[in-house]
Amino acid sequence: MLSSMLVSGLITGTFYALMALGLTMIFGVLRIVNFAHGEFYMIGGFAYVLLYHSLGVPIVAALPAAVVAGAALGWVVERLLIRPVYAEMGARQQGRDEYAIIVTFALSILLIAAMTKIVGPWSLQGPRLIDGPPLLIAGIRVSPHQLAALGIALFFLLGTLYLLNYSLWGRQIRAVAQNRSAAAVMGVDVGKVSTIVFATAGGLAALAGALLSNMISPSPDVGAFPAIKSYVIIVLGGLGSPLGALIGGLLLGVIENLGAIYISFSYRDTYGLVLLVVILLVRPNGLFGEMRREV
Amino acid sequence: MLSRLSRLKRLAFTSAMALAIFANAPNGAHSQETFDIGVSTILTPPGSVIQGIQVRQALELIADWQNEQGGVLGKKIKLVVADDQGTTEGGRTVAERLITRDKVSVITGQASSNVVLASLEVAKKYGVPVVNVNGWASGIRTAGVPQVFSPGPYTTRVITATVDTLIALGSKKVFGAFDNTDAGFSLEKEMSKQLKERAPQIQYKSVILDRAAKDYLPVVLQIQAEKPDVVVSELIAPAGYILMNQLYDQGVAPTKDTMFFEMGGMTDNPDFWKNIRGAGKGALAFGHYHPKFDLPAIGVEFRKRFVERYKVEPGRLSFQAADALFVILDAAKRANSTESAALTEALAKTDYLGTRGQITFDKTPGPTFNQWVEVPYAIFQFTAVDQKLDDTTLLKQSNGPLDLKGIVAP
Repeated sequence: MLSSMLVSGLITGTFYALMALGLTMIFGVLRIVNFAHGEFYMIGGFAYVLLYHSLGVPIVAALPAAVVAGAALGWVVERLLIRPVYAEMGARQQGRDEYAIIVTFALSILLIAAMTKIVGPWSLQGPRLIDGPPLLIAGIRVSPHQLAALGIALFFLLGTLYLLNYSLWGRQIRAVAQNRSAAAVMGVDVGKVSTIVFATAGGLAALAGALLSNMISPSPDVGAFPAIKSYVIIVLGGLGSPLGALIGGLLLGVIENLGAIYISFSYRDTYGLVLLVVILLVRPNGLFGEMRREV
Repeated sequence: MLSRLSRLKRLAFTSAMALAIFANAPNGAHSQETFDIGVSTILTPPGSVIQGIQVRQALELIADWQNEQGGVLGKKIKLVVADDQGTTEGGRTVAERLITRDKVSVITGQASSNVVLASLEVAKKYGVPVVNVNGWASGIRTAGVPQVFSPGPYTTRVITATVDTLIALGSKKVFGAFDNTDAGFSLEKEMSKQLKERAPQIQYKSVILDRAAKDYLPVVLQIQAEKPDVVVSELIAPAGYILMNQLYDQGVAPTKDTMFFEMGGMTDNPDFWKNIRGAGKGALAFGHYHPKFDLPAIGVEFRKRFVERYKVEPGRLSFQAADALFVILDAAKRANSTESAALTEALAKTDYLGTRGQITFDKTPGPTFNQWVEVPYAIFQFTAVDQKLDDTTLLKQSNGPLDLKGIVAP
């Protein structure tokens, strides 16, 4: 059972990482915590389910459409709600953190209420990517849907990490993350980078919601738990560190699963918090976080 | 002159009083014309909203139906609906508010045990009766609150039926999954007790799960390692849906080696098949209503009106809510009053033919106090995806034998 638990923990952790990667990118570039991140996940899940069930859109189109819906929402949110943090709050950006907390928190409540109004408080199961009986791989049972979802999640996760490290787009994001003003002086369009980051984060969270919609049956409040886990992961991995989000996600998935079996399922959500405390005692900036000093 | 002045004063005083009474007449007349019934139910998460909606639909249907016929004692029935979210805090606050602010004379609609438990003290404090729709926990009855009546399901009844089935199936190893609610804890305790007493040959393990969790895979893998003959789940929707799907995804249950027994009564939820696909095929289910029940005339009429109005078949929760409201109206008629104390007294003497049978309340202190002991139930099996309740294989009605010949291996 140990190997099954490890594998299932890694699978769960991959989806956690997909959520957390977007959140940490937003923090890295904009220095704000998006409290509505879980609702991008919810929007992705519902977009996928409703497109398939209500409009009869095939899975191959519904899945990308869900990602686009999350990205589009991210784009709109950044332009309408987040941009004023930088554009209109003056050079010293006083009140920036308070504004960001209030506006993203309010957005979270608004999106949940709007979705409840639109679809009702029901939960709806998403379609399987691939139907069929579970496969036995090296003694571990995995459903074809789970395997396909994992493959897609890994592709997007590793692809985003690759682009962040090796593409011009990624270099611009990293430049803005390191020093927003210096990046602007060097010709980087920081506004555009911020929008792209928010849209990417929205798209990744929506993808996670869509891929998991078969297993978790989205409901309007479904985003709360994954969002909380994402906050734990980005602190665990180091705020603003994409690699930290990946490792932190996998670590959390495995620790939760092992704790649930070998200690008690009832405390499953606390194992991550215990791990977080232990890591922060040893490395106050998280696993891959760096000390920052602003002058 | 003096007496004339005095008369004028008296006239002025009387006129002022009459004016005051007249001015207040609309409010006073309004409260006289309606029978205000408080409805505390789940309209938003974290409780099971699908349960609250079924309860509310049934109550509104009956209120409108009875109002068409002139209401009760010449008063129109007015439902004052409040959202308790299925939480203990919500239950207590809503009960207090319905009684003190909205001045209702009776409360019903509660769809979860913790809400009923939270309202026990409030009911006792104000002397307002509560007619419990779906609180299963034994603590509701053992508390012995004379104002609380339960015409719905209860722990010992559910577990007795479940253990009967497990014994008849010849189970050797059973794994139980319960949620971390008052009902979950109560059911788990009773299940352990009854299996130990009545079927010591059955190896039994159980787990209490967080109803708000979205992933039960670690437990599913634990069940997989245990290889039980039957997995019994009490989890209500949406948690129950997630567990069923994950058990199915991992090939654990229902399979030819491991049956799945749904004990929480969620299989007649209108969104059941929207959330459960292959995982439902072959599942055994426990419910408090089945279309093959031989319903009394009022039950047949209720079902007909429900289908006409909502375009769906009523589930067991709708029947439970219907019975709760019908016994309240019956008590009001017998008491010739809508006052709380008179209603409580009349409710205790209930002997009413409800939608599913003759309802009376037991007076024995303990787990059946103020309980409709013979509340009907059914055990049935789904043999196909998207199967309607009418088409499922009915294995047992509460007053009949358990017929396992019809069971199909998944």
